[in-house]
Amino acid sequence: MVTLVTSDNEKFTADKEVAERSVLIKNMLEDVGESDQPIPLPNVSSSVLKKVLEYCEHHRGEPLPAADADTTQDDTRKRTTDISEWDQKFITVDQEMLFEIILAANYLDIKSLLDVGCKTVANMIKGKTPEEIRKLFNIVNDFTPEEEAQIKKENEWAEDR
Amino acid sequence: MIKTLPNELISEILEQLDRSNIYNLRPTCRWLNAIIESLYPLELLIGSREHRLPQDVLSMLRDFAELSKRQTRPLIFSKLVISLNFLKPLLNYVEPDIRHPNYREPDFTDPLVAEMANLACRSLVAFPSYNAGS
Repeated sequence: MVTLVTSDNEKFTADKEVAERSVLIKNMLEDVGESDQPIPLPNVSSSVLKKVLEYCEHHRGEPLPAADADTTQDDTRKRTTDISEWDQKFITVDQEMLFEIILAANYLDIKSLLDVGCKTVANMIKGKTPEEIRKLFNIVNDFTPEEEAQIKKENEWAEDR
Repeated sequence: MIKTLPNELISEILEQLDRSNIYNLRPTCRWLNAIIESLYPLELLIGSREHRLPQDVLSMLRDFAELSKRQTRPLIFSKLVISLNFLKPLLNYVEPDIRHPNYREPDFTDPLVAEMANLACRSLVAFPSYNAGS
């Protein structure tokens, strides 16, 4: 078992196999060797780590993406916005948690979880107008009307290519 | 809250989107537009993976050049010229990647290719910030 300590000082124990879905944790465990030393995760809160470990537990035993994965396969991974049913349910969280999970997946280096998070955000954006996207993500439009019109004009031009 | 994500993660998200959805993000705010403008080359490289013909891209660049002149937005065009990897083998600027799907022997007797080379050279000279970075 591995002990992980979150930014809010909460301790979690997890199977080594589960925790090592994170490349960061795997590397840290290799560095400390056969020690019971807790692994500090100062960038991850307890609520987020709980979700991350739930994901890792569900996907335990699945092959990890190779660090030197073929570029073509990597492109396919990046360009597919399909998310499995379990992952979809897992990632059905409020926006704050969604972005926290993405940040944690990036920090912990869990590529498959990062993919699920990014694909989810992409799916939220798809087919929406700029106004709808602003509303969705609570974005303030800081363009002048002229600048906005200019960008829209460029877009129309580019869309015709 | 999307602004809590660093640029490289925004880039990961953008890679999941097609052109029209990316374009719809541009007018949302300055921050997203700046990221997307910086990623135009990436977007076009995705286009190349989708087997867009080099001739189409050359034509696009020609239009970008015209747009740049009119709209005083040289950045887009200069970035395109410099970063389109699949134009490099075409123009033989660097060691050609003969395995690239869009590879063909450069043919400077082709007016479009010759024009492209001319445009590229002019743009490189015109935008010193890019020369400084190369």
